[in-house]
Amino acid sequence: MFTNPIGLLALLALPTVLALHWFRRRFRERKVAGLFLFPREALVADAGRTRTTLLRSWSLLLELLAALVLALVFSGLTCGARDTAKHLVVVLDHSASMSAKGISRTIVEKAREVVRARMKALGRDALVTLIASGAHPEIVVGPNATQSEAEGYLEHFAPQSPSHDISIALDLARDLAEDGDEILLVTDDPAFAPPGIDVEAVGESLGNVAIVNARRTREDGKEQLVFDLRAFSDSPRSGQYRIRTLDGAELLAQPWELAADGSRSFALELPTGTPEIELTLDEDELALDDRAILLPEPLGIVNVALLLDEETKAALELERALGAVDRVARVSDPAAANLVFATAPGELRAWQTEVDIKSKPSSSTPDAVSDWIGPFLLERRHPLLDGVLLEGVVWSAPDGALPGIPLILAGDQPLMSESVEGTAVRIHLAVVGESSNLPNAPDWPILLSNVVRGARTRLPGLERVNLTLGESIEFRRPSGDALDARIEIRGPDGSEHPVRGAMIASFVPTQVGVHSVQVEGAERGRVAVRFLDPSESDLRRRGSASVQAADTATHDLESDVSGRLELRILALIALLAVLLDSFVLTRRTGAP
Amino acid sequence: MRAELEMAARAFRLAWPRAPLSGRAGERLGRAAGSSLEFMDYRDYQPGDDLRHVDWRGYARTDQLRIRLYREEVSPGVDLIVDTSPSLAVSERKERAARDLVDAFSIWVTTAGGTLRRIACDGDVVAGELRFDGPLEGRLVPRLPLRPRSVRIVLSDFLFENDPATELRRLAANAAELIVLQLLDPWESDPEPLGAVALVDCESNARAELVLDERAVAAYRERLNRLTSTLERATRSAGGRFARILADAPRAMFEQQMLRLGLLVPT
Repeated sequence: MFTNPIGLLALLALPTVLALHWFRRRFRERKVAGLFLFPREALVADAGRTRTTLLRSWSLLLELLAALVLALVFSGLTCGARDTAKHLVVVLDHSASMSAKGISRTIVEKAREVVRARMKALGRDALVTLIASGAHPEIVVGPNATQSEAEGYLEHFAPQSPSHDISIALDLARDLAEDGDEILLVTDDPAFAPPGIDVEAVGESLGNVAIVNARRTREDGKEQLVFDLRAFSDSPRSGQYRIRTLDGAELLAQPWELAADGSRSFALELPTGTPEIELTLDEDELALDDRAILLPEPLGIVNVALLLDEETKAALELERALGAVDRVARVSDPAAANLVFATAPGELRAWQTEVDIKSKPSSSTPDAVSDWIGPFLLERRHPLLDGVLLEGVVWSAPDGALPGIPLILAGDQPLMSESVEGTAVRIHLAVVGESSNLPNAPDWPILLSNVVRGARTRLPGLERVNLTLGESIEFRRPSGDALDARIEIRGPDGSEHPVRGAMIASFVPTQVGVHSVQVEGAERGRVAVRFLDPSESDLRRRGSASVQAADTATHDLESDVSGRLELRILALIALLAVLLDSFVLTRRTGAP
Repeated sequence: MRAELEMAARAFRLAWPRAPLSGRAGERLGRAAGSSLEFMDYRDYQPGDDLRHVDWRGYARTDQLRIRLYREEVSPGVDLIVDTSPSLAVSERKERAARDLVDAFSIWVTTAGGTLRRIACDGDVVAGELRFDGPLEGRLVPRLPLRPRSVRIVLSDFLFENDPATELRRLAANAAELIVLQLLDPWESDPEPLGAVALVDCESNARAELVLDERAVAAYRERLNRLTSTLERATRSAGGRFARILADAPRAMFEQQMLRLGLLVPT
């Protein structure tokens, strides 16, 4: 195995040596007495570097040997070390509190030192597996990786996950560890002592002030910024909050004061058209919760097309009922509509909702209309029926079954049902407006409002633009997009993450900041991710501790020494090869 | 002189040529009449001739005074012409072998009572230590006149583009024998594929970058063999003997190469 696989790049010297010999102009010299006897046709062209027959000379073989052996030395070859090397499984607490500043050093620096020291104690041949805890623990290095690989991750270790159950990561570590392997948990929680696992708590008990809630709300066409500050401190704290646009223009700066362990809510009205803003506090012990970026909430306007005859529209009071629902726009083209009301099922497009109203009996049974006064059986858990009671309602409906899953039943007669077709939804409604009092009941606008709300949740594009770290970005591919169009999420640090999903692309961001959703390289939306997690912001219970699970094996000196011996032998072989090569070349040029 | 070389050299002696030699009085039979025991011819008596050589038996039969002539005994002269260009010192092994051969010839000739002149090709007699920093033209005939009827040995790698036939004929003229030794480093004789290599000429410093693979080595070997064949033919046509010697330890060179080629005989 190789303790430094990057050193294998030195193997590039092999083709280089071959190329040098192949194209060499450095001929070995030989003095002769009868130069005229040598055939002219064997002469090499005088000008330019010429490819010549590759000769299997001692020089070539020795140089190849030296290059190969040196590459093995650089890569830290250790024969059979994998079988005997120690294995250390490290669970790194990736919770945001680990990124606290600390009094003298950052907690991250302390964590790095602890892991480095443990790796050093096990010897340079020891193998390492690093697991970053989280809601979904991740093996970030390994399994059974070299220490240089682990070092590469530690250098950029930046914990910022919301609070999570660390035992899932410990279970994973136990699965990866074999008999004799060591498991080390590096955390900032001194009270956590799982059995059989070494714990190094490197935290510090600190006070902190955090943004524990921040959102932009829209009501009656007005937008508000609402946020809460909380002092996780045993003493009063004060400071200043600032609201800036992302291009740096300061909109507001106000002082605040908080009592010990106190909190305070703020509600600020934002001017119309306020762009993306950043709310910041003075930087304190935990920088992650001192900043929240908030994008303008999308209007979420639902385009509604009414493909009904005037008589049905009037009987159902649709115009009036829809007029009472907020953020609805009327369109005539059903292809551009998010919500379609029709009397006959039509072609459904992606993310579209269609309400198929059956208001007339079939031509074969013209008198088959029943008036239902209840009791009505409602699927209460369905969001379409949220707030719908149907008390005192006389519901006239043509007899007959409805396709899909019934949502409202009167006896065995379905009055409303739903069928899901891909990303589209078709709602079947059996109602005769003329003989029913439903259109005049308060349940009717509630039901229609629920339908519009349901259609709004299925609008193509981004579901939400302001997320809390840990929530997922959901992007609904619009019906006009090709199904194989490449979707990527570009993080705040410029990293690009390809996202899978035919119709819904879902991605759980791991960084705070503004993420860009790119479809085939073009930005199709932006999402701001903020850190809001009071349990992580409270640093008062953090601290340091060291718990040894059992007698950890001492440093296996023998293994380390044998590894060094192998490298020394290889280095000696390389030196001998170089010296022999030098001797061969000297003899060639010196001899006639 | 190294003990190893001297020991190896004294285990052998030069295989002298059958052609008559010339030189000062010595142990080898010369081409002129002398005082050795080997009868050569008769001639008429002239006043002043040594009466001990009169053929008295013939005088009794024919009543004519005739003198018995005997082959003279000479001390053989050997002119060793050494290529002193830097190519002989292209490698330490080759330079060492060249010096060893020159020293060994000195031993062999001296032991045989002869006189050896070390002559740098295209130069003068080399009195002191051999230095391989001579001319680069690839010429073999020295400015110094060679001794008539001397044994002439040429030591070079002959790795130059000039045709050596003319020079070898001039060296063979009036010589008791011409011996041409081509000394090569083993790598020069059989190079291994080095791949991409910059070859530098040790004399001109000319540089050639090439891919020395199996095919190029095969082409090199073919060219070297062609050059050696040409040299061997030229030596033979000049009446001389040719040998390619690979630089090695003295004993190995003498025993495994020169002995087999008939240049040496065991003592």
